[in-house]
Amino acid sequence: MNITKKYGKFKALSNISLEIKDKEYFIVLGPTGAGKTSLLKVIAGLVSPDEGEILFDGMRINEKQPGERNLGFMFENYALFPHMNIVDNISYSSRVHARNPESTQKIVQQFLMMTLLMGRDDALPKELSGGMKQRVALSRALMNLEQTKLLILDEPLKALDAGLRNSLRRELLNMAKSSILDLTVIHVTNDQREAMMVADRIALINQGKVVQVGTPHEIYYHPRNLFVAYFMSEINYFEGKCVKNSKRKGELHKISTKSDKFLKQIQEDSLLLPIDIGIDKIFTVYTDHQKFETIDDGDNILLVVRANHFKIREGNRLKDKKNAFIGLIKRRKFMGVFYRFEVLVKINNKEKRLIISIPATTEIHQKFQEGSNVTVYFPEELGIIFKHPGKDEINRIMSLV
Amino acid sequence: MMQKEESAAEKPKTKKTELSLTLKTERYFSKPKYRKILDGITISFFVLVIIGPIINIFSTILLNIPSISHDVFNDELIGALQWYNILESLSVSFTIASVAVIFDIIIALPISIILTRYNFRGKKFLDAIVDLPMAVPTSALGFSVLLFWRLFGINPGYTLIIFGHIVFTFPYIVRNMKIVLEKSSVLYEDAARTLGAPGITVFRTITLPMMKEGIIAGAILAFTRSLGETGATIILSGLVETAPILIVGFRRQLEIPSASFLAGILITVSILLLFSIKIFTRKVKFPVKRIWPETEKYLSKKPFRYFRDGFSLIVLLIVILIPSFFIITQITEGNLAEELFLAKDYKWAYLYTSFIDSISVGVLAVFINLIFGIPLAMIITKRNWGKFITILDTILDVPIAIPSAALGFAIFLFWGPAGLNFFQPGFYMILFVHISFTFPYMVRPIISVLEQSNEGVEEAARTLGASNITVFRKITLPNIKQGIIAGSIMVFTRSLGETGATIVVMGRVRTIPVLIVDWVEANVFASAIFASLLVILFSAFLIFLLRSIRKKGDVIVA
Repeated sequence: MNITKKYGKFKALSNISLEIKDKEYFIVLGPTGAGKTSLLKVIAGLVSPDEGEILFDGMRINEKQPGERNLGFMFENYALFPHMNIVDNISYSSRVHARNPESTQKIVQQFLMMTLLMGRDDALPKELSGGMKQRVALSRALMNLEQTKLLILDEPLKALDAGLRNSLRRELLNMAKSSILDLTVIHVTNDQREAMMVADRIALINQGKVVQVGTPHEIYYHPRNLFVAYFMSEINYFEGKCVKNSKRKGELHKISTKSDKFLKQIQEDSLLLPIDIGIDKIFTVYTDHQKFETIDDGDNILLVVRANHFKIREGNRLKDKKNAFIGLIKRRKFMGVFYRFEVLVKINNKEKRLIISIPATTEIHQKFQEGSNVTVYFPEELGIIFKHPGKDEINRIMSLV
Repeated sequence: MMQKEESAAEKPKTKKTELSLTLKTERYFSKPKYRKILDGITISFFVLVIIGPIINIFSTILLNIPSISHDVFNDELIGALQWYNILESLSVSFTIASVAVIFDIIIALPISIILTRYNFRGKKFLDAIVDLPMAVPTSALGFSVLLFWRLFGINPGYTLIIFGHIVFTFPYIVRNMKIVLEKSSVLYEDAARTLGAPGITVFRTITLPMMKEGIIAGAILAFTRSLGETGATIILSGLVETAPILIVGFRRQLEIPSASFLAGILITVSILLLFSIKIFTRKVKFPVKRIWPETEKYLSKKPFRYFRDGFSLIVLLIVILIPSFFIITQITEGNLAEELFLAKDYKWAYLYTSFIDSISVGVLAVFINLIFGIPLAMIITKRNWGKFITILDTILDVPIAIPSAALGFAIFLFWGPAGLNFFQPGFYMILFVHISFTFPYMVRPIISVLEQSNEGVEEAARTLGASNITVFRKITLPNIKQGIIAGSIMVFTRSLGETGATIVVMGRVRTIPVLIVDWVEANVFASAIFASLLVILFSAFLIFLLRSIRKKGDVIVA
């Protein structure tokens, strides 16, 4: 696919190119208005692209009507036909395709059993709860699948309560991965947590463009730019410079014994980069080859550290910790699984507020009160370096998400 | 609740800051006592203007049974001829209304879908031009239709009345269909398409059932408009007599008993019809379960679609749009200057005064309907009076449902020399009649905006210490502005375009539509064309205003 869709002068999608593998659970993630739904509509044939091809198994299907594409499309808010009961809703595609009524009847009953709606054949959509509607909509979409097993989900969990969302998300994943159905799923959402939980791969899109495609790991630990980093979780960012005339070249990462296996894996083959962000100490951060090559000595850079990648100690420990700040706990908030601290530190003689989240334990609770002096630091593997995108771009991204 | 309000009212007094005089006055008049007085005045206005005359016509019939039975059934000379005339006119009226409405629906279905679901150049223009005939006085439209079909040798009579009625009822039908189509999400249609349904199946099983409300609302409105229309019908009818024309005829010949009898029948039948349609259509369901996959797939193919869209657009053009505005091309007919300005009967002076009278009646009707319409809309949406509100809400539509000539006659009987003797036929009686039949057009849009508006905002203002009237002035009124403007323009255009009700009560005064009818009947076509063009331009301007104001928040009347 390499698709452009314009609405008047507004480009909803520009040169989007994605390849989705067979039996993959593929998440399209992006903020509201990024073009996610437009993309789905193009795939389903509800709108035709201005440029580009849509290929199913190598065959061009641009000219096929939506009904001929044999895909299951579950709409945001479900779009259950309000004037038909749930059986008529579920069996709609069978009637349209004139399938055998008796076998249809059987499958519909199976679906009703699955959706816990046995015996409520005549219920109208408005009589159902959110979870029931979601299941009926899913059944209706699945009924339309024949040879192609492509299921498209447009914000399938958006309209549900938090608790229900969790259980239905699990159900959805179980179903998608079940060997009986063999589904390929394209699922659109603006919730990065949801994306991380279910995706095989994620495509992050923004303003009609693909920003990054990759596994949840890749997206989280190797964000391509500030937008991706910021979209996936709460971050702190620092502006700085790559230190001049450093001995950085060729210095391969020696894996510290403390970092866990998983970090070893992602940081294999990375290089150490010394940077100056405006405090006395030079910080050092590991980065991959590709980025290493693009950043020259003296370049302006942006250092991003996720809130949950900071560690915290009492008092002043600047001497024995790398990449450390000393500061004062301004505010502490208990969030259940973790504490969210706001720590004031000094950079370039200006105060900066760092957001730091630490898993909640009794120890943390006792040691770190509001007003305590602390040292906060982050491991060299977990700092993320970008070329400085310019002030305007930073402000734009910060206001976007 | 009341205690709360009072305590809220007392608190600010203890504060040092002085309330302005306006706020003080508003606080004073926010007392429940004054609210009750206002409610009382509003309800009495409603009863006097709408229910009174209608009840009165039935009591008049009962009191005058002997003279009615003499005039209608047992006249020495003509026997029961009038009764047969009445029956004949009723059957003519109903047939014409049915044919026009069915034709309208068939053409309006594809047109409304084209106007809401397609994207093309000139869509806005087509949309506006389809709406336009609604604002043009029917007598001008009827005259234009007459001039157009005259080219093809169709003379006044049955067929021409139907053509005329199709033209002026069409906008009501398209409009209501468009409103439901705009409200109902494209999502349902998209869902059906992804499930494999071809175009026709989507339309039949998804779109059409969702349009039901709009089709019914439009059909009721169009049917009642057709049933009650007088101005265009007089011009197009030739020797055929519809029921409203017969009433006008009786009234002109001062056959009051026969006129009241026919008005009574028309009012009864219209009201019964309104309710039975409302009850009956709720039960109608479209057959959505059966699907004929092969046939429907075949019929959904492009050539059929193009044919269908093309055909309906051509019919729209030939039967509705061109006849509506054909009159523009006729400006050169006759010697206008001589006929209108130089002739000794001073036609231009008549034109001038009737234009002023028409506009004055319209403006005053808007003004008075605003004063009583807003409180009534508030009563219907906000008071918890149970059944009474339901009844009020239902009766409100009655003036729309009954033929305006019949309503006009009822008001003539009630307020005129034969009844309370408040008015003589003339300007004030015209005004009174116009207030009466346009009242629902004012109240309905306001009700629908009130129902949509967020109640939380008003409650928030109250918790902040504002008195009821202050809340109304600062919060409610700005919120319902859309409805007020829409209602006002509807009232004004309906008043400007009315013929039947005016003829019955006008005495020596002439409004523009009546003047057009008179001039057409007197065969002074050039002046009639000029007068028609004048009102068409004026109405086009009004429609333009209406459309630029109400981009969203469309309202179903009836």
